[in-house]
Amino acid sequence: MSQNFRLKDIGLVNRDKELSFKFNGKTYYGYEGDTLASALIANGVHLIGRSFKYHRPRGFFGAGVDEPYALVQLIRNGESIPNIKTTEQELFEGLEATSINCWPSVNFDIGAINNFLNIFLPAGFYYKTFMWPKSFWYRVYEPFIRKAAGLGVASIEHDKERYEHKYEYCDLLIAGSGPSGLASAYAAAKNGARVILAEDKARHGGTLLTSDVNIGNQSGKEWADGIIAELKEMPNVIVKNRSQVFGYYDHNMLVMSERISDHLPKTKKFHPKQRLWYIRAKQVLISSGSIERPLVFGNNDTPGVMLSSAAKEYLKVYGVLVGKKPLIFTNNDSGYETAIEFKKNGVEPIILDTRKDPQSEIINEAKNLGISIKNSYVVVTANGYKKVKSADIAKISDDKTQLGTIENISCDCICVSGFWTPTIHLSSQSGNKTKFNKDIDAFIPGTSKQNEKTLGAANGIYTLEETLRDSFETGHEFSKKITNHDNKMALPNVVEKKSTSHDKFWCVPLPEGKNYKRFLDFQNDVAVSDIEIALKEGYRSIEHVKRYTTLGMATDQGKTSNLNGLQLVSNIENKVVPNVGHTTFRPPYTPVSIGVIVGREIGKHSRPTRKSPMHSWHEKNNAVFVDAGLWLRPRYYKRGDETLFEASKREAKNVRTNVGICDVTTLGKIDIKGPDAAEFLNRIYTNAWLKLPVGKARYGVMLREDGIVMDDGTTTRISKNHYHMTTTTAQAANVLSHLEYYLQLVWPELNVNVVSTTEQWAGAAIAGPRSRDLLQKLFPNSNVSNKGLPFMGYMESDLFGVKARIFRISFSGELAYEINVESNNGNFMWEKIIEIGQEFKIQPYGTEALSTLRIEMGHVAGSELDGRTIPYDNSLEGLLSKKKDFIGKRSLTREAFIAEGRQKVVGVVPIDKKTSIPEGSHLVKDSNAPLPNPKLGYISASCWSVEYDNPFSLAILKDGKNMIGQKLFVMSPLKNKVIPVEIVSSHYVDPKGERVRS
Amino acid sequence: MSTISALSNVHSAGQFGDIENKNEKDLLKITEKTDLLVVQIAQHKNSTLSLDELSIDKLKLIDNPLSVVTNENIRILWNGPKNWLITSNDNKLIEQIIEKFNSNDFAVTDLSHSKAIIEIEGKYAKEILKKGCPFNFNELNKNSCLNSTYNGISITVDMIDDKPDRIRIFSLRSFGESMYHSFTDASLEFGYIAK
Repeated sequence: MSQNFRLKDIGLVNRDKELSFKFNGKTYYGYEGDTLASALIANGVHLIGRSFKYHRPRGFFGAGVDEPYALVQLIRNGESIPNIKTTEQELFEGLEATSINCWPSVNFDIGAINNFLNIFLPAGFYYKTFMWPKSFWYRVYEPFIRKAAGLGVASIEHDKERYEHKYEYCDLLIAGSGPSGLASAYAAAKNGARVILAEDKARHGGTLLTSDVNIGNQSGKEWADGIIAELKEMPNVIVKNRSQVFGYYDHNMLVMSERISDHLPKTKKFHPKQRLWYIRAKQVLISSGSIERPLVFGNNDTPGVMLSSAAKEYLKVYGVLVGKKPLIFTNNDSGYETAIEFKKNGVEPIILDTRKDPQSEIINEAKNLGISIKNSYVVVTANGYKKVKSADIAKISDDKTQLGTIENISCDCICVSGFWTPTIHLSSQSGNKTKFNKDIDAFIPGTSKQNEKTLGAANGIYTLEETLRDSFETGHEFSKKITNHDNKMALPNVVEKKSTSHDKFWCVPLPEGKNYKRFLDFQNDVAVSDIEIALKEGYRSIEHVKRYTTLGMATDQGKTSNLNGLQLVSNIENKVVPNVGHTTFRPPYTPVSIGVIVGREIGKHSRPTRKSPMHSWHEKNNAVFVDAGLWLRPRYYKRGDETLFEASKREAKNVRTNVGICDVTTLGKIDIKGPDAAEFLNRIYTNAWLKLPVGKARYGVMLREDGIVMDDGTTTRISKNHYHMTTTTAQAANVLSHLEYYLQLVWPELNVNVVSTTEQWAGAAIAGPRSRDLLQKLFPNSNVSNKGLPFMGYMESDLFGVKARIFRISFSGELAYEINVESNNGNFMWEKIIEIGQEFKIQPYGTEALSTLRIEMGHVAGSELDGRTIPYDNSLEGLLSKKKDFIGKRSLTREAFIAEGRQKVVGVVPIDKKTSIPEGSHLVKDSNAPLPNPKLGYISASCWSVEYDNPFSLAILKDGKNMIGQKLFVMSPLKNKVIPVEIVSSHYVDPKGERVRS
Repeated sequence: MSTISALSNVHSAGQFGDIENKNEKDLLKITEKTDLLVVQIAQHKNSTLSLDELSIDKLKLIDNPLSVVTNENIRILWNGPKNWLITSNDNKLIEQIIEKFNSNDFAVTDLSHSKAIIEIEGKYAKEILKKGCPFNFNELNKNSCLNSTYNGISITVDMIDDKPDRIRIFSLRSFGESMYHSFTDASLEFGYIAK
């Protein structure tokens, strides 16, 4: 087959460049500038796939974004992409496509049996069947339905393409480059406005490419080409083709999908395949045009039935005939334009016009060309299974209810035109309340809610002269408001043929005794009978009818079906269409790839990561990392075949016996500066801060206003007006916000400024009985004795030429110090400590060992300060000042917080001293009690105590204070464990805190 | 003693991305800016001290959003109301600042080690920023600055020059490698030289 339906010397494709492609394994040829649809039609291929529900043969219905069902599985550069519209996919050398929703082939599809069983598959059948036997649901029905559902097959391979995002701003965003888009863009751009003109298709011009009009003594196409060329040269204009504005959000933010490389065999290296634009426009002009409305008749989904405007586009843009014996079925003059084009190219069309005796310039031209016209005629049904072979036609009564004698007429395609439906999706998404226009039987935009205006056919204006006048005017007026320029372009002279009004007829009645399927929604196989059933079953709201029948759902979003569906509902309900209303238009207007929505934030870059200055050292030394918020922290340092348990135990043991080093850079650090800093801390923390001397640190707890513990940490007074606060890693940003909130809104009288210095300082904790010896070697000129640098003391010193801060604070419960140096010196500090620490058997330890050390010491952390506990629960009530006020103080007097038997942190040890206790387990009194077994508390953190060599946990336990010594059970239904335990003090090791002060 | 800059593990010299058949001068240039003094000066809310009385190397602190006041050695970036970021190649400048801006009226904080800093130069520099930052870069002129985010990372942008565009970007140091990846990845389309 070699392009038998391609005309010579007509169309815009590049005939100098022939392209080969494969469809269902067979090789065909087309031209550069073809779509896959136009190339297939040129080769006489009309059977593309099978329908969603009944597996009926599917061909082409539209020529662009309006196409409901000519979808294929596309193979491009080794990647398989489902549900690609053949009408939008441009042809490239080597393109491969296959039919979807059919097996074993599109010609012989087993699933087509559904078509013969259609009586059992009406709308909503799935709500009524598969109900019994109950046991069949999981094993039989669900797997079967899942297999049957959907059209194309999503690839499970990694998508290797690049997708990017872009943020852009403009004065005017113009969606659509048909006559209204071009005119308004030109007028605005010439007036100095920054304009983005977006066109979904590869070619600009819209209907100007196919209409027989004259603008300024040029054809429509010539005029469009001239305008586009001029706009592309202007620095204040961005002209984009292959770019669909598909969503309209608040504050005039719109999203656009640009298909950069989809038309190429392969994406250029380093370049994106698609780009998602976030566009904020001062003004939006919607020139999205309109979509031709189908006429509804029997078997109107047969391949070969298509929109009349699509047939004209295939002919004029691609030089392709959709058939050689066309039947044009119309209720308006648009069908005549298509017929005239057929006639001009040597094909004899027959026009069936539902109108009785219409008169217009276009109709006269058709008559003068000798085109056969049958007035008051309709197509009753299309005949043919995989392609239209003939049509049953009949005269229809004036009231459009009675059919005359059925005649059979031979044809190979039926081009339908039921007038035009404005594309109001973007306008509706913007919040615009649409209104019904009786003249065109369709909804058009009403009052704008945002800075948007709809122009041309999308606003129900169907004459070129009026469209251009309005668009030039609007482009000028809107740009004038923005730029204050007044450079007005003159409206060119427009010549177009006059048309007459359309017929409101849209659906052919069934002949007596016939039960043809008359489809409304071609993508979802929704027929007239389905809507009738839904209404019979009591569905009244159009939203409910939509969901029950699937009318207007899925990727098609009712582009060709909505209006006819509404007409049907209004007819049955005896209402007018505006009283039925329409369903909600939601973005995206057309399908958008998941890839372009995600952009470059994929894989390990799906979120940013934070690393300490010593990260590369950790990597080189076999650190296994754990996510701590966005930070990557060493969890443990693996030696040989060690497990997490073995490594963390070794590291913790070494801290208890020698000395360990831990990267604590990630702890939040906040500089608090100002003459009122002490007063500020005094209000923020629960304990007293006014008398903390310079060079001293203090542990503090801060609460939320509801009395719940927010965070804890130490704060050191560096100088008179300067404090250095530390926070937990997880809460660093929240604490900074918390402080800013109070400073800016609650206590504006305080002269204090706060700033995060987390990144300024690299931190290393050295902990263990030999840490002082190590410290002395690191700072030989400083007095780091217990007297020179006591517990909670602070000093500044010099680490081999590097300025260092030393804090004597401890999270491990051992004698410990934290050393801070400026971050560029962090690695130097770390390596120096490791080097000198060898003498003291130093080992690095990670968060797992750190956790072990703090748990067995009974130091509360994030798992206890979990947003549900108050100071009492964590044995921090000693830090609550009775003399002063602080954030959250009043809330602590609430009844539940002072009730007898309030929960409290305790230690938990298994009776057998062997069984590890899962975190999150429940504590119960009787493990055999009937469910629901009353819960007394929960395990907040567990470890293997390196001090006593047995499992140990912390728990938040009801009346914990009085439960010490009690025997309870830990229950973990998830791990199916019941463990007898004893309740002990949370301070399992060094309960008097002697080590940290040693 | 050896210091390690924020991006030393990831920034290496060379030409990357779509560089074929392109003139070197048309490629983007990406450099890591190291050893830059970065100091935040915040005036306390109730300070009555007039800013007219203070200057740094004859430059005044201007409380004007997005503005940058500059001379050959210093750039003073507006960082928020009564809040500025001072950048300079002269690391000793901080001593002068601490001396001039007393702690009763100002909070002066050295943040030099807090930042990972890169500079992007070339005619596509703003295009790179537009790929991840929602600010309107069409209106970013020479000697203006802003705080925003880039692919989820907080950044400060300082527009140093516009012939050609030269833009300095600061992120928190710990985010440095992610920030660097984000910008260099976005630059591949245009091709870039890492210096």
